[in-house]
Formats: sequence, structure tokens, C-alpha cells
Amino acid sequence: MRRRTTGLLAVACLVLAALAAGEAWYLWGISDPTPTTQRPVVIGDVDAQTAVETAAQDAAAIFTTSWRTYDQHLARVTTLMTPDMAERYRKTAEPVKQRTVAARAVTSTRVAGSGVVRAGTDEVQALVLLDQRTSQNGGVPSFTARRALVTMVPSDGGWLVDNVQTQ
Amino acid sequence: MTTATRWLTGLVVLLLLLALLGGALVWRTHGDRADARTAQERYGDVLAAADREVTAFVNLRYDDPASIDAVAAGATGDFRDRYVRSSQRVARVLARHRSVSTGRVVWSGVSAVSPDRATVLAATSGTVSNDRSQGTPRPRDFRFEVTLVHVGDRWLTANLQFVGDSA
Repeated sequence: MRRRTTGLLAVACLVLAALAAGEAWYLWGISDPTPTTQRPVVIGDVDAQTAVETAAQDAAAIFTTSWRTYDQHLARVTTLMTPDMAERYRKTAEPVKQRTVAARAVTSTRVAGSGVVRAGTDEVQALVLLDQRTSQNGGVPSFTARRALVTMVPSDGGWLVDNVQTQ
Repeated sequence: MTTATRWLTGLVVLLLLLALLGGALVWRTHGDRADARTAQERYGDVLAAADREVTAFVNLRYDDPASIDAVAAGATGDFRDRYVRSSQRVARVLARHRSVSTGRVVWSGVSAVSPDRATVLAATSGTVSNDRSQGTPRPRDFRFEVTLVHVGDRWLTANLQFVGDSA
């Protein structure tokens, strides 16, 4: 009788330990979902919204330039970017600066709209619609309806621009 | 009761409490994950519906009446009524100018979403050919804002407008 009780208790221990292990796996063992076509946004609305608003503000800053202050512009906007993006941006900046200064070009950019395309814990893509006005040599500004796909990544200091594609 | 039995009894009680606590956490987490999955799938559903509608809107052919009907198929409410009322006139205009537009959604993003309403921005690229272009396709890129409402188990377009100059 005593051995039977001990055996039953041992079995109960094993069953309960297995149950607790299964529960622990469900609670902490399942990795965060990754974005898919069916579930493109797998982070909270507030996080996604924060990333998209940052993307919109940063894109407007990146696309607002003046021939008078191009160096200051470069110094300022590269702080909004990841080191990789900042390096790529600096590499393309010199010819852009030469064209901007030669044309005495001033470009102002405002956000016409923004939305989340995909959002995961390590990357958010935002569609940003930008209205751009560029004047050259003090002439009448021309309008460009720009569309930008801005990739943001999280950092200790908030979201940083990791890539910008425009069309 | 032997020492071993006492120890096992204590362990069973401890594991039982642990399993009950784990069960409660699993129950709550399961509910949270189900809610999150529903919200995440909503993003996918509204983007898919908006992409379908915008794709239909930028693919209109004078020689294919079904292409005009495709827009109405994804629409609802006043927007659908207005579109259906004007569709015969649209068909006549397309036919008169032998107009063919083609296009695709390049990027789309959700700017707002709730269980019964959503706003999506979409950027398209495509071409338009007509008698003015002498049949030669000319590039045409557009920006759209699509308002969708949840009707039954579908997301339908309640409004579709171009995003032009916001100034």
C-alpha cells in the first residue's frame, strides 16, 4: 500500500511537472511573430504609430534642402539615420550638393499622409506621401508629389531611418 | 507516512499550485494573443481590399466594360452609388478617347484602422494611353486615399480620392 502511494505521487509529480513545462513553453517559448502578407503589422498600434510618425517627420526633414545650408542639413539629418544609412547618404551628398548650389535650389517638403506598410519588432516600413516644392535661382517653385517607403529600425534613442526608397 | 511520501506530497502540492498559476497565465495570454492576431489580420485584410480596389481603379479599358464594373464590385454606400450612376458616362468618355489605363499598387499603408473602419494610402505606377497620346502609353503615377468600411465579412471602399497637393 505504501509503495503504491509513493508510486502514485511520483507519477503525479511527473505529470504536473510536464504540465508546468508545457505552460512555460507556451508563455515564454514561442517567439514573436514576423510580418506576413496576412499579418503585416505584428507590433502594438502605439509602437507602429510612433515609428510611422517618426518616419514621416524624418522623411520631410531629409527632403527639405537649401543651397545656402546644405552642410548643416547633412549634419542634422544624418543624426536621424542608422550609421549604415548615414554613410550611404553622405556618399551621395557631394554631387547632390554641387547640383543644389549650382541651381541655387531650395526645396521645401511637407507630409501629405503616412501609413504603416509592415511592422515587426525589429523593423517598420512606412509609406510617406510628400509634397515637394523646389525653386531654382529664385524662380517659381515646381511641385512634385513624392511617395517614399521609409524603413525604420529601433535604437536606444528611438526609431532611426535605415532606408528610403522614393518613386 | 514515510519521509519520501511526505516529500513527494509536498512536491505534488507545489507543482499543482504552479500548474494552476501557469494555467491562469496561459488562459490570459491565449486571449491576449487571439485579440492581437485578430487586430494584426485586420491590417492584412484592409490592405488587400484597398489594393484590389485601387488596382481596379487604375486598370480601366474602353474595350472592356468589366473593368469599369470591377470598381463597383469592391465599393459600397454613396461612393458606389455615385460610381454606378456615372459609369455609363465614364464608359462613353473612355470609348471616345480610346482610353486604356494600366497600373499596379507599388506600396500601400494603413493610416488608421478600427474594427469597422480604415483609411489606407496607396501609391501606384502605371500608364495611360488614349487618342491624345496616339495610343502610346504614357507613365502615370498616382497617390490615393481609400476609406474602407467593414460590411459583413468584407472590407468595402466607402471613398476613394486622389491625394494631390495638400497646400
